[in-house]
Amino acid sequence: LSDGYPSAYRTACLILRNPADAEEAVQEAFLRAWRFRAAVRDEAGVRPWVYRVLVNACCSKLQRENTRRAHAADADALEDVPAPELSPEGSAARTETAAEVKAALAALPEHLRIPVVLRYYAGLNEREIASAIRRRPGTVKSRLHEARRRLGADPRIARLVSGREEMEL
Amino acid sequence: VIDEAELSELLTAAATTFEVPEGGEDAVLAAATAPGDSKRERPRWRPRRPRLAVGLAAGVLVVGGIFALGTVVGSQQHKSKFSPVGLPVTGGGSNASSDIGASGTGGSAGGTAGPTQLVTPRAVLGSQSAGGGGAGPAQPAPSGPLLEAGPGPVRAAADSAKIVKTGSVQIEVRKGAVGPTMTRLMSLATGFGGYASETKTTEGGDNPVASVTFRVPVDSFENMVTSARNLGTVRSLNTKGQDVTGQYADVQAKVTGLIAARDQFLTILRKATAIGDILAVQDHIIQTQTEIDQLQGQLKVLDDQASYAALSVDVAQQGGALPGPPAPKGGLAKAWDDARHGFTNGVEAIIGGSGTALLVVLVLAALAVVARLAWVLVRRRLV
Repeated sequence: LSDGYPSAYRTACLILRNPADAEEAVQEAFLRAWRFRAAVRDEAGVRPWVYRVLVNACCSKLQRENTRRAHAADADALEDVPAPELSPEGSAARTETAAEVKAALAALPEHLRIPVVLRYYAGLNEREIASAIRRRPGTVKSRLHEARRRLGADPRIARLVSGREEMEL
Repeated sequence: VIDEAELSELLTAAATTFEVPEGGEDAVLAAATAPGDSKRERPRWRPRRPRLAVGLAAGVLVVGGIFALGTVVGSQQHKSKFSPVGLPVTGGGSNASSDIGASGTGGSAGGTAGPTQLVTPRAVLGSQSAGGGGAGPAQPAPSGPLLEAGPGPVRAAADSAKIVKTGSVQIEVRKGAVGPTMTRLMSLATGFGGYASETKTTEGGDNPVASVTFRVPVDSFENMVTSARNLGTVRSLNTKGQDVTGQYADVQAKVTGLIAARDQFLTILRKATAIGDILAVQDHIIQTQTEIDQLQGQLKVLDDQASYAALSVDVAQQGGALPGPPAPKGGLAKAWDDARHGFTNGVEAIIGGSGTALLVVLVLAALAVVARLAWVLVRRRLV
């Protein structure tokens, strides 16, 4: 729990774009995982299984939120999250980068956003993502590719990437 | 397409801006270790589509119930067509009972052969016993108290009823047991107060067979049939009962009339003086007496048949040919017959067992579908 909680929480934040909902979803997911831990016997399957629980909890939250809130409000909620322990310039730059990334993620449909977050933030492989979202690995692969294509075409992400390249040069 | 490493860095950078709430893990732990949550729980099955699940379950129950009912009814009908030893009763069993119950073909003393059905208690008992030979364990011989318990006219009819019982049993015994079985049958018949009226035994070859016809008191007929059946595997069993009460009464009436006529001829003979008349009356008396003797012989035969039932028992080794009218075939004809009978028996067995097999397959399929559905739903509910 202590190892997986921060990562799970931030994954939920990236998916849900709302810290309060993310905290609820993570708590719900861990509780369910604890209650039904008898159903998992394979130690290696625990992580994708927990993420599957988390994804389901996030999807439930999203469905509820979609009927209640506008996406813009969610985005505004994320804007208020402060960056941890950085200089004012660094904090501002990081907050700006995070806001661009979050906005680009928010532009992705749910079925693309979840695999991207699970793959490139949570670090799950394609098979584990397939198990988490109950889709075939081939579907996961194509969705990841599509998500990367859309993110690459997004001007905010393109700007961030080009800025990083310039800084490296 | 954005590079995977860059995307990962961007997402990590964005994610780290989310401050992990302090005490979040403790809250999870506190909730997990609460009294109601400390125990391990098995997933509870909650169908995502309850209507579909209920419909499926109802369908499975209805189909299973229909097939179960059909199988039960079919098996009952199947059993009623076959004897307890698994052999069809040809000409015996219920046929015998119907013969006995509806064979009253004559009046009593009037001699008129009307179609009235004479169903006497004895006939009923006989029919039950004869039917029992084909449809269940043989009942004991008709007991006296039941007959004595009836009202007067019925009891008189029962006492005067003449039932001729016959039967034949073909049994298979283990190798080398034909002789001992015959000895046992002889002693059984003697024990029942009967005797062997005709015997034919062939021993010493590859196919030892024996045929014997027993005459046993009619009250012990069913017991004798049961005893014979128990000596080996029954290959065929036929029993038959026939009510000859009317025929007996007719003959008896004819005899009475002929005796009266003979007495009148004797009276006339005593009064006759002319030689011609005497010779003519003597011829009538001789003719009448001859008819009386013949009819009295018939009465004796009927009495004997009604008193002693005839049971023909054929005994052979397992797999051997039993003695009987159809001569055992050999070579190609026998092979063809065996193939034909084997095919027929196989088809009958398949058809007979198809109901149960279909039910088992349906139940297994339904269980598999339900298990698969439950597993899918449980897995969905797990996460």
